[in-house]
Amino acid sequence: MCLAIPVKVVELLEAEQALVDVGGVRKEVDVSLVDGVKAGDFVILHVGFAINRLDEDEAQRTLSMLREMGVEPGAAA
Amino acid sequence: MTTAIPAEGRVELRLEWDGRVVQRAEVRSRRPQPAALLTGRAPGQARAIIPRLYSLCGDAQSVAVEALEAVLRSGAPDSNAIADWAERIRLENIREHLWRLGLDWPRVVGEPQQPAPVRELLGERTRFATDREAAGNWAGKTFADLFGHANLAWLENPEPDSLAQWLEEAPTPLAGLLARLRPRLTGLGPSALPFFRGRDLQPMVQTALPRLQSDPDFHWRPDHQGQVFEMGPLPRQAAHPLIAAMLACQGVPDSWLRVLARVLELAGALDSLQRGIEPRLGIAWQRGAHESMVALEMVRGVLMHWQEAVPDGIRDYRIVAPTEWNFHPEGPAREGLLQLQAPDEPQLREMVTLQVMALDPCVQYELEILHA
Repeated sequence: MCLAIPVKVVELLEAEQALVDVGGVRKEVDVSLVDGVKAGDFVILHVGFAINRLDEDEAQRTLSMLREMGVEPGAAA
Repeated sequence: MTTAIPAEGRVELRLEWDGRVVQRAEVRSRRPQPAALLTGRAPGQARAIIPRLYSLCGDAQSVAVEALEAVLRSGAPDSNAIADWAERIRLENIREHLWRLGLDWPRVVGEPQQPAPVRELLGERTRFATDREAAGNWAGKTFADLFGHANLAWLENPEPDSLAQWLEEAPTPLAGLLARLRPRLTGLGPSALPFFRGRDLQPMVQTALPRLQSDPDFHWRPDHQGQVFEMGPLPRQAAHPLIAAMLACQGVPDSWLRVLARVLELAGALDSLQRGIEPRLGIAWQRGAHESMVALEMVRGVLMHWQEAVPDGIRDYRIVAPTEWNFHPEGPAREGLLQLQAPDEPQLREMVTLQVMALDPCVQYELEILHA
């Protein structure tokens, strides 16, 4: 029952890695499973991998729902 | 409001280890529930909200909420909907198996990861759900990449020697991975708890409906008639000739059998997809005066959605994830950890990692070792 945590891609790194912002915490993740990820994109994070891209409005709606559930996305980092 | 539960939930393991043997094991699973988000909303809104919240198991969660809505609306889902859900669940199960075998296990043993099939399925899942020819072609290619073409008698027959030969000779990354895993997983994580059987799904729903109504903690530590089950690929594959033969030989399942069952289930699912065989979905439902629930068999076991609604809206909504059975305080994870022998703490941590991965929780775990 893995929650879908939207995160913002801050910087692309080498070897299909990227730096993402998880509730204010920077974390290195693997973006090899999603084509064409670039800085500024929002992606769904799952155990260290980006698995889906979504637009910012959708990401913010999901983050708002997660907070309403009592979830603090930064704790996923 | 925030809670102490981390964003993705958590399994907590606490072991008392005397320097040689684990004398005591505590297992606890916690995760956020959607009730706070859904309470007071119209029942139909669950369908719009739940699918947003879950990642890799999102199809199973979506199917459960769609099925619950169908039960509320008309008493039962129709057969066309169930066929559509079965295909989505099959594809999700394949993706999860590919993730474990192509990304997670290679990382643990230091083998190169195999992300290509996961990436292809993530990108094409919507098309594959309706385009059977495209899905079948992809499944055939993926099967060949994983298994090769020789020494495959073990996939359908009780032939451990055929499996051993395949592990030794097949030139595929999966065979190499499994050859390295087998000696490390054999004998690890034994559990004598009964396997969950598909025929128990409807009776389980009938008993769980009032339990969820009366017990606010049922979703953390579920049981069926006082019994905790092991769930997942191994119980589903228990009747496979190879698994049945190995179980008859060794008596108690271990982590190697759990991984092997996953491999067999993946092979069967790819084969059926390639040959255009319709998938079957284990699903059951029950509607009470104000409560309804749906249970379905997804990759890790039985997923339950329960909703209590009154005319003003949803009053409560809870999800019982299959991880809550395998990582139940009295479940197979705890059984496997008790009496675990390790000569030092690094090896103990490594053995715990292997056992946990074989039981496949849907969230990460934290391990605390107390020196007895």
